[in-house]
Amino acid sequence: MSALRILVADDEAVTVELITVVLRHAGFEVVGVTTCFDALAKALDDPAPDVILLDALMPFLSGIEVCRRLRALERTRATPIGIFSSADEGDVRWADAGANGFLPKPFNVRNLPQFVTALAAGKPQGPPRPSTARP
Amino acid sequence: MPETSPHTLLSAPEAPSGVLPAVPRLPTGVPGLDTLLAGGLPAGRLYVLAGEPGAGKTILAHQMGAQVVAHGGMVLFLTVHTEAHHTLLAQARTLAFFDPAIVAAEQFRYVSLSAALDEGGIAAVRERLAHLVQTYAPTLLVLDGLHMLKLLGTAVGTEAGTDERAFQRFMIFLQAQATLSGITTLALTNYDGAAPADAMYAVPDGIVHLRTVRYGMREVRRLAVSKLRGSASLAGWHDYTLGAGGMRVFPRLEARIQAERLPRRQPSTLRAAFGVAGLDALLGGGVPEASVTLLAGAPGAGKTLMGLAFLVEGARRGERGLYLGFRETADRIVAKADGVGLAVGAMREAGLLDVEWAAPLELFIDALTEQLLRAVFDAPAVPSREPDQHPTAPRDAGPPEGALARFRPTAEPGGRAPTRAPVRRVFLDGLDDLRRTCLEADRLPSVLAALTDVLRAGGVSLLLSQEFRQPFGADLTLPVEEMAAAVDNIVLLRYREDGHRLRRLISVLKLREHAYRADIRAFSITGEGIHVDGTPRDGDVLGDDIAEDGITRDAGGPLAPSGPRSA
Repeated sequence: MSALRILVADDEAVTVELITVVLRHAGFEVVGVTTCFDALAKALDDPAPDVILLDALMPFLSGIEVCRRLRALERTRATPIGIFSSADEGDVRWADAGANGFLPKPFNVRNLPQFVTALAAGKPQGPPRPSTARP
Repeated sequence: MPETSPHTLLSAPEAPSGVLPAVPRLPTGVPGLDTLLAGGLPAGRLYVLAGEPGAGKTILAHQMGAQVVAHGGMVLFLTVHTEAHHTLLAQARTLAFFDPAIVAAEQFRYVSLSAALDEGGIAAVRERLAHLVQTYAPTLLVLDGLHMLKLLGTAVGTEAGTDERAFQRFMIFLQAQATLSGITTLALTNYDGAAPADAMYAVPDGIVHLRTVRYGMREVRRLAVSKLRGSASLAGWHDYTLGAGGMRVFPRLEARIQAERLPRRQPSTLRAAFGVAGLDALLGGGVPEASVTLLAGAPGAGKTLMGLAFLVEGARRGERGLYLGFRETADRIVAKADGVGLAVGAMREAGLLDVEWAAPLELFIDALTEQLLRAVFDAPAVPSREPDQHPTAPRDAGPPEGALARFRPTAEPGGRAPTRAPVRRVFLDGLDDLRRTCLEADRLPSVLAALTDVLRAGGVSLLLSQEFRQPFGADLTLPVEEMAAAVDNIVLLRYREDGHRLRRLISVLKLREHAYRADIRAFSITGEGIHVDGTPRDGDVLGDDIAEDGITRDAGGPLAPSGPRSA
């Protein structure tokens, strides 16, 4: 079985680098981008990513907005998406946007592979909250 | 995202007086800094904030940012290979003024330009920056890591020798963007000691330097507004502190007072008595109101108690007093005074006497004088300046009452005035301790002159105590020579060996523009109070009367026990 393909997007290059290193070490295949535009483009690439990790506070289109747009597209309607942010979880409406999990920054990198694996398995991560945008 | 309305943040343009053009200002929200800046940074310009790591650059930027957001503005905080955003936010969370919810609400937005820099050099950063500004139209743009941009930004896609020019073009771009878009831009850089002609300093409209100065084991943080194009500021270095409340700047009092142009007050004809009959008799009723008196004396001679007597007497007449000392806590002062029958505790309870204590450890004079002025006038000693009261703007003739009003108590919301009586007497107990808080000794006379100016203008009588090195003898060399000119009146407390006993002696050395009795009198301090002998004792030197003009007259002439001696 081939490695799971993970798309990571954060405007902070150092965060993308760190996540990439950790996930590659754990056996994932990782594509890292630093803009919301690249995130949208790579999400629709072939082969499609198995899991998408988005920074909630990217400029131009936030991770929340990217998530919302991906959910509106047939191709990415069901792709597991995780949101991470240094803002308080309560202030980030990740579930409303249709994301499947939330990871607060800073995070313990040892938990990251487990977080991604759980998302890939279809297990929501983070406390459940009312959702109106979920397909 | 809420609509931003940058103009609600800006102060009204300055009154079109003087040579300086009217400029709307963006307050920094840093207490004291806005005083230095005459209300804030002129809006829509480029500023460089330079300081070594840990100096507080990002704290200042967050403080200003929080202020901007609080007024409905939007902040774009760009980083270039500096701290990670979650680290910045974690630090910001520790600051009382910063509400982390403004980040999630996208009113305060961190964006990294590191990837753009790595991928496309300074040109890519410029392009990304322009795009961001166009998209968000921020009220305040912060660029954290100007030094990294200079260091790394020019290495990509440029040939050797063109680096400096690429950086210079970037600085010119930043400035043009600020002025054309009206976006106040704050670029943060680690102080690198670059020459003033370096684009980093030559191009921006203003430069604020942060520096740490070491005095032996002590360290003090200092800030200077080194450049502020087209606008005046209080020049020189000023102390600042960093804490959970953020940055706080203490403008040098003498620089502030010079700029404030306090109203001149006619010398008072009223006297402020000590309530110690024999001493008041020597003084012709007391020291002139709103004057400065030096109480110089030998160790243990009774300076503190004599000064407290002065405050209690004022309180008895309904004039609120303030004691500020360095050696003893308020409780000890109260106990000490009560031990000799001085009603300090009772007057304190009645709200007529405040006792303040400042441990003279890591204390700096500008923080101390602010504490003192705050206590005297009940109002912040560093209020934000009204925009029409520019420090160097020429004023119309007549006393600028507004200047003093900023030191006075402010009316409470609803128009109610403060209920407590204003402070009319201040006793600053320990000129030596005050001097130790002044790291540059040659500043002390100017600080004292400024302090006494404010107090005089406010009608406050100031008493300063100063310790003599030697307890005995007739050598009356003033411990602080330059003080002789700054103080109006001098009262000496000394010892004399009298057989097997020490006797306390009191005399008046100076009473500016007023007559006084030049007797040297014995005095005692007992459980009943302070008692100065009414007549010279055997063996005491019989002094002469010194008239208003300083000329000695025959001894024994009548001095009025109270009331004015001169107009």
